[in-house]
Amino acid sequence: MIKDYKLLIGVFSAPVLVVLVIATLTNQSDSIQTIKMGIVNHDGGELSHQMIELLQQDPTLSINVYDREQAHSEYMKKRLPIILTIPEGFFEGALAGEAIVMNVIHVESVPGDTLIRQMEQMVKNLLQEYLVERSTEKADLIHTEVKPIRFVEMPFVNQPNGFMTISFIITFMMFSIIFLSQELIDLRNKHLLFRMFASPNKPSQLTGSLMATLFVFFALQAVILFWLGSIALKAPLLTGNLTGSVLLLACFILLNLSLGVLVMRFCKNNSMIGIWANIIILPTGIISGILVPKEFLPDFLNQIAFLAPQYWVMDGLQKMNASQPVGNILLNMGILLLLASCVFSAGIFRFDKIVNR
Amino acid sequence: MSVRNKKIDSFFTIVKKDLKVFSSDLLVFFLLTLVFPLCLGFFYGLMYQNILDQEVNMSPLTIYHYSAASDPAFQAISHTFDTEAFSFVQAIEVESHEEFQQLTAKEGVVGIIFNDSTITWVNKGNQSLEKRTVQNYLQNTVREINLTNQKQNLANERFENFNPSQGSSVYQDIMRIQQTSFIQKTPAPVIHSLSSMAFFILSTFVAFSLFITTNSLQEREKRLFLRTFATGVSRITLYMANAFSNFMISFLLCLVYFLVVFFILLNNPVSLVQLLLMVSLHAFFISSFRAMITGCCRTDKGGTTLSIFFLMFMLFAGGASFPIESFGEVSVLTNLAPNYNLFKLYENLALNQAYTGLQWRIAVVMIPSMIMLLTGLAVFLKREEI
Repeated sequence: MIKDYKLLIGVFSAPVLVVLVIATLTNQSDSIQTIKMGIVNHDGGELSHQMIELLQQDPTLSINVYDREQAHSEYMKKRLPIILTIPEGFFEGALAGEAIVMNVIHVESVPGDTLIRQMEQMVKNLLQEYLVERSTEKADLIHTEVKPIRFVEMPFVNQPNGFMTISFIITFMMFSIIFLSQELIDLRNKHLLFRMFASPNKPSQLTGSLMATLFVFFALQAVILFWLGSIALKAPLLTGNLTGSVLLLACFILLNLSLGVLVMRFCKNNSMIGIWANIIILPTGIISGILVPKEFLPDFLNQIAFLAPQYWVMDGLQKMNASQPVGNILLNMGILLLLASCVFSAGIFRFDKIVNR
Repeated sequence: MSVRNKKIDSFFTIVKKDLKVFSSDLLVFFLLTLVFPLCLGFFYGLMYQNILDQEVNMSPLTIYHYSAASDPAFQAISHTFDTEAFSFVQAIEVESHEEFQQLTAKEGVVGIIFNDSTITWVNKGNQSLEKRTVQNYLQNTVREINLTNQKQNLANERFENFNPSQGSSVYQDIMRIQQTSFIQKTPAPVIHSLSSMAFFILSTFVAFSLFITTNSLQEREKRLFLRTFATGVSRITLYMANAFSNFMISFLLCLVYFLVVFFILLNNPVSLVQLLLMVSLHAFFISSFRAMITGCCRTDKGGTTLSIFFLMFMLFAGGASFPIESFGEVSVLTNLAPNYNLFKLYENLALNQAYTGLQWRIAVVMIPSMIMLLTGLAVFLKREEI
């Protein structure tokens, strides 16, 4: 097996390269989701420009100024979820006490009330500050003995959480299904499996010995991926309770190898393995929330996430990274081992029918 | 039998044979060209749901807050978290500073300490939309409180028995502004568009439908065409019969797919006549493309390589694998991609909109299809010279 350079390339080089790229690209810890907002500024005055500048400084918003038609067109093409229209003479009118309002339209899928509340506060602050600024009492106000309240942000250095890198490593580990199936199918096609079966060895011993060899490979693969991923991410991927993480990953490798035995059962030749492996890996990856973030998924999929083995691995690793005791992941390990034993049993069931296909 | 009748007879015999060969692999084609794009469309639909639906969900945010302030304005701040605008916030009041420190010691926790002179924001985790929104609110509130306090203090200094209605006009203006609402929510116009799932179920299939084909290229590779010519069938008859077989097969498969998609999966019944016309156009495009591949490529491998090249163009330039319209106006290249135009026509059909101004999209599909059909024929005639 060690002489099989294709296997070695498949197991080590490609995953290492991808994990390095992913980890390097995702080591920024403070990127946040932004909400696109269009502003139609009919006012055009100094205060309206100040307001736009303030909104542009808000990291939660992505602000663009449009004319009325452009904004409407972008809204209808589902590219602009919120439009704020500042009417002509708004700030002058508001200062003069006229009943004048800005208009907001937004799609239901964005938190409109929260944004309106923020903008309302901003407009009021601008108007009040402007009034004070041009007031004859400004000097008095500046000298008024009021100690201002300060807003203090407590410093905290964020570490990148490595969620994406761990997700990719888990996905790559699942692809080990392919390698075991390939080995077994090659043995079967060369009639070696049949010959081995003719010896006093049991099916579980035959597949088990191959699984043990590949277990070493994939344990080594996992170590390398987590180690290099941590270096590229500039933060450890596994922290806290390392013993628990190692035990959990060992259970996961066992499950993947068992799945490999099961996939071999379904495939007549090597070209079918990719299809079957993807049929297992992609849907479970999606529902577990490691391929597509949970926020993007419909609720019903989040509710069935527990059906995917990747969910139990990620959940367990997060618990271990939060320094929880190993006892807290006993359920995770138990489920993975139970799945592994069920899948393995299904894989070697009526083995005589498979070896001589 | 006249020459003309013989040609027609040969034509239909070849078509019959193609359909028979195709039907022997029906299950594989069914999986590859119908089920696989459907699954992929479903997958893309899930992946890009938030982009296409412009969905921004505020996740629940727990905030521990401890107040050592005597100013009632701080009480008002924590009450704001009970309003609809901050419905995503779960504010938990903590009795002592020790308890607060204990609770906020964990990673990822957020807290606020109110003092008479400071509002301290504690964030022990990564920044997020929810946290940043609350932080912005607190920063603006600090500005608001400072301004109000300044004015209040000045008024107290000046007028022992201050009456706002008789006092400073600036004070009155500030109070008026404070009590006025300046932003009004206007009912938004309804956007008629496809859901993200429907979008990708349609667009992914249009791209992958390129692979609906007979086994003609394999026959050419095995030199079975020469045997056919030996029976007196002309090159044009063979080429056109093969193109027609492709048309029939793609018409049937596309029709099945869109009937299932529109009437069952999307539960969005469409006009059957329009659907038949659309599917005919789609099938014409596929059959012309396949005819070109049959004409230009000598081997099955070559045909697959060329098909994959076109597929890549359709997936990326034609926007079949991502929501291309969400990133701004589409480029000329996209507007020239037949799959994008076919998708726009199906989209129009699904939304029950009038076809006004869409004739050029039909032309963008028809003209390249005609060119491909004729190019394939020209190359085929040249290469299959006996």
